[in-house]
Amino acid sequence: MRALKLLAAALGVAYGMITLALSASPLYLVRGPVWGAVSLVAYRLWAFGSPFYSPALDTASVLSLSVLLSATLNIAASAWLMIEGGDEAVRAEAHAGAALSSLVSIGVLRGLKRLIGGELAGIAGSFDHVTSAGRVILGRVIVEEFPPASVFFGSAYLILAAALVAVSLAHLVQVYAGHRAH
Amino acid sequence: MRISNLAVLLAALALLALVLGRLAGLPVAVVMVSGRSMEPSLRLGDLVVAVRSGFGVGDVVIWCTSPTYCVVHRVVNVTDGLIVTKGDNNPVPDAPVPRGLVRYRVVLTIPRELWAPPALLLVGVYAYRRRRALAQVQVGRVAVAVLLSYFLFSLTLALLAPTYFTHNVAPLRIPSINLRSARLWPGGLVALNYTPLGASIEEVEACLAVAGGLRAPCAAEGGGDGLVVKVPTALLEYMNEHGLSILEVRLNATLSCGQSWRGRLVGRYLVPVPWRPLRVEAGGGVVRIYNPNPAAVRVNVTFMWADEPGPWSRSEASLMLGPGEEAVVEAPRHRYVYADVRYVLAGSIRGVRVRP
Repeated sequence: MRALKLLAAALGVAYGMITLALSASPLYLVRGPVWGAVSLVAYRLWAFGSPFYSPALDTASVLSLSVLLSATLNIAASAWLMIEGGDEAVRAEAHAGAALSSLVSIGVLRGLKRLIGGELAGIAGSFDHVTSAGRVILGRVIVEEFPPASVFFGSAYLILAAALVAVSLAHLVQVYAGHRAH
Repeated sequence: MRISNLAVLLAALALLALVLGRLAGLPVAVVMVSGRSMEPSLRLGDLVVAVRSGFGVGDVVIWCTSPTYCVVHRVVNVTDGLIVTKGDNNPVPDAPVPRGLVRYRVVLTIPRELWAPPALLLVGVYAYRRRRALAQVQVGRVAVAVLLSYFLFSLTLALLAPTYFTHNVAPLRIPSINLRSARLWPGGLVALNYTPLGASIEEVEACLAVAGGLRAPCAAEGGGDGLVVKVPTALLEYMNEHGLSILEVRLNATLSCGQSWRGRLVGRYLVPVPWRPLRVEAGGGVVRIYNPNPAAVRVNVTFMWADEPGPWSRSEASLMLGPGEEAVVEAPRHRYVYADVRYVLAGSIRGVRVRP
């Protein structure tokens, strides 16, 4: 029972810390006439030397609070789970609730990926054009996915969340089974 | 039901009604600012209370193209049927939108410091008061409470913040430059005038003048919205001799775009060269010849004279008239004098006979 509790807490902390770290780290790098970096919670972009604000990326930053909250909940619930004394069933339930929130969070994350990816796809490409003055060559905007993005939006992260939910629920069932036995 | 619980319930319902007001088109709506485009007037996380009413230039309005796509920006221009808005922190205005899309005018701003801490405190107090009920272990009760709280938070966030599901609204203005005019001035100078649209000419890297099969490097001066290109005289003389009336100027220039970006301009401009006949006037014993063309023209003047009826005597003079130059040729002093002025213009021989 203790092993499962430790594993559930460890997975909760790992999920929370990884989510917080990946949310803050740059996911996309933008180079060219528009340059800067985009993370889940913030972005800094400059277009032709002036700061560039994108409504879609602003909205993504706000909605990312949902992902951050799930991560924080998991860290807090995991820490609470490890505290001895009191009713363990309440702590196990809180941990399970937090773990289940990670599934909602992943849904939000997928939506945010589409929102950010779609906006950056609109910016990427060549800005060269032809006017009456001739061919105006401004360069090409290149959007590169930074390594954290492949982790965040990859299957490993999904497996981590799934493992967290499975272990947390297993721990909860075990706690209730212990209650019945007593 | 206790008064505190009732207050929390009423507050939650009131907030929900106001939040749904935007989606349902109620006369009053509450919207959370989800971007930094209106800083410092409106900051990320501030709540705005907006009403359906008239608006004018300077008002902050909410315009929506769909129930989930709304923009909170300031009106900077109102024309027939269209308005132009701009984020206070944005360098450029938004694209014009129909007036009918404006749903609300912002009348009150609630800074995030004023609403977020009390809201969290309220939730905390509520949870503290309900701690005993929450602690009573009934299978799944706490887990559902945690999950439901999280879900409600995410839903409220999505409803409060204007959301953007289209990607063609980025207020990105691409620097550009247009050619206003390209004209040839006396002296073989080509004046190129531009209309800068966020991009201006910084430096000319290469310049080439082309006519027929002949190419010659040219010098270009100026920058910003205008350039002056000095075309080699030899090329213009070649054009005159071969009857060419279109000069091509090719140039590569560095563009200054925005604050720190450099672009390039590759331009090919066709400049018409209007070859005009020389102005030849005679009188007072002299012949005056003026060359209005951009190239030098070789002129042959043949005088024919006689004092009595009989054979005519002849004398010739040849001169090179530069662009915009005037020459005065003195005629021989005799009773009968004629002057034949001949020159090559645009590839053909022209002639004028005058009597000085």
